[in-house]
Amino acid sequence: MTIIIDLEHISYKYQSIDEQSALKDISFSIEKGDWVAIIGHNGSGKSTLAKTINGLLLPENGKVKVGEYLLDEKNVWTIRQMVGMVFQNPDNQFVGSTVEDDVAFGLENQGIPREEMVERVHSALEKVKMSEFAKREPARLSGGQKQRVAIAGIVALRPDIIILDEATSMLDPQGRKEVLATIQELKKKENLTVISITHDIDEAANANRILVMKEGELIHDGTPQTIFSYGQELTALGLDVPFPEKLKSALKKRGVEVPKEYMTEEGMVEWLWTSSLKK
Amino acid sequence: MAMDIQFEKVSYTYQPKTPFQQKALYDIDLKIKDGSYTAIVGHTGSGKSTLLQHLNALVKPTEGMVRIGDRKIFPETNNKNLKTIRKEVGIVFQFPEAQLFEETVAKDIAFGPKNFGVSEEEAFQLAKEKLALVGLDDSYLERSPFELSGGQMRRVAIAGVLALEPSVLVLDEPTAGLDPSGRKEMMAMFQRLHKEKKLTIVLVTHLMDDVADYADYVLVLEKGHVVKQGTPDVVFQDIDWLKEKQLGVPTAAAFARKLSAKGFYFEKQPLTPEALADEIVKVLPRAKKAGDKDDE
Repeated sequence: MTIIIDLEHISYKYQSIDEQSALKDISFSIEKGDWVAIIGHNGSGKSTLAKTINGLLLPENGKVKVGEYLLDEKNVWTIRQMVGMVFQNPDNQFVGSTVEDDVAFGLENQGIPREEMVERVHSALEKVKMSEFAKREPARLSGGQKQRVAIAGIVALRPDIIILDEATSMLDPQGRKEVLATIQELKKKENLTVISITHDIDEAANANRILVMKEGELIHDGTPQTIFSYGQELTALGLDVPFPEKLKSALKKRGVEVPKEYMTEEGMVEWLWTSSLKK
Repeated sequence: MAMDIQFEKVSYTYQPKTPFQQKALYDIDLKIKDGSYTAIVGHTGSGKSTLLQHLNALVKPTEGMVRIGDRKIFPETNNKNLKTIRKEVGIVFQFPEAQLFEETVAKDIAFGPKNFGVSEEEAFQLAKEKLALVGLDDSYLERSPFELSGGQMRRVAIAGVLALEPSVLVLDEPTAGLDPSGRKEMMAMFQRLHKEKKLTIVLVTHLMDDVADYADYVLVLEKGHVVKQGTPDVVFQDIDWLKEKQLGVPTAAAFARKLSAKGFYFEKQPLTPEALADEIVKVLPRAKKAGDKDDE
């Protein structure tokens, strides 16, 4: 296993006079090819944390390493090429007047030769299934389509890591599905490492590891199975409670003995069926 | 005055009689009863937003008639004197925090009532009162709305609509972009306004669990037309139809269906976890002691 992101004792304050640190002594590493969800209440430091990974914010203390590069003034541009970010509001991240211009923007900035640029824009749009919209105005797309274009802009730069900063929270259920399916596929094909900051339980369930932030501290680090078994406590951690856990607590109130460990919907159906036969 | 809202054969066309004309609504009959909690669901582009704008005469139908309380709005109705309707029916648009503009929270909330001729003093009294109603204390009155969190800004924007003391509150995806606990608090707040202040609520949403939890009537919109309406029990009866329309199904109903496929039998389709649990305990052996003591 290769470690692709390594954070050591990261602390951050927005203003030196702030009493509270936005991040307090955070250390963890992420392996290449992982899908890590970061959850936490609003203001818990999730987004701040993500911004330290690609050097949008420079930590007060501690070391950030991405791939083989230590984040410093010299390496920050290399690191930004390795880490792409998709933000919450699709309308705030468009610069081009057509979809393909927009995707090309990052490549232009890097001085990629035109021929290669055309090729990369084309293939990036293909990957997010937006090729037929290449000549359209971004403003006229649906929310899910806009976020897919934003993702294409990042994919064109061939990053190793993609960070979704609440990238699906402003979308309708359809758009949310589109974006998650796109990321799943990209991850598989391009061997991307994905970090998703989210409040959405379905998005978090895609991860193989969940980090929980609270008041600037990393308070839990575990698999979705472990984290989801916290039940009602999850609301306080900024996630919705998975349905099987809601049902369990409703059943418990009615005097039914329920298993403590986390159950998927399928597992819960199985368990209810088996229990009903014991009557 | 009972503020029923009724649509009779309402159609609406954007840019009529031009090459760009586009029919957004057609032949809509519906009634939103005074005191009800009505949900409007449908895909992006189904006409929900256009329909909303008819609820307080921001637009007039191009065909048919909209009755709002005792006022009738026809295509030819004069635009004058529609102001009182906008006071009776308050619309909270999507991401309403984007509309905040004043220096202080108090001034922002007081802006609406002052426009309707309420005195400065009274308007600030209203601001204070409505701020409390959305769950923020007096200490916020003199703060800048722009230094608040997203959820707090949204509450202030909603207080601004409530300051007009409407009897109908229309909410266009009011919890979009909030985290789960913020969403929960916001929905509880509307429920409180509905129960305690007897506000009629019209909720536009994609979240079927919210519809199941709160609404007593549901309108399903598709391509500018009402394709289904009724109580949640009725609308959520036909799960295959909802899935085919990709509208989503309340989680409890979808889960109950998985149980039915296994062989469970439900007398009534459950729409919430609580209702589902009620059904399940009928067939499940209870924990011995807890079950015995249960005095339900």
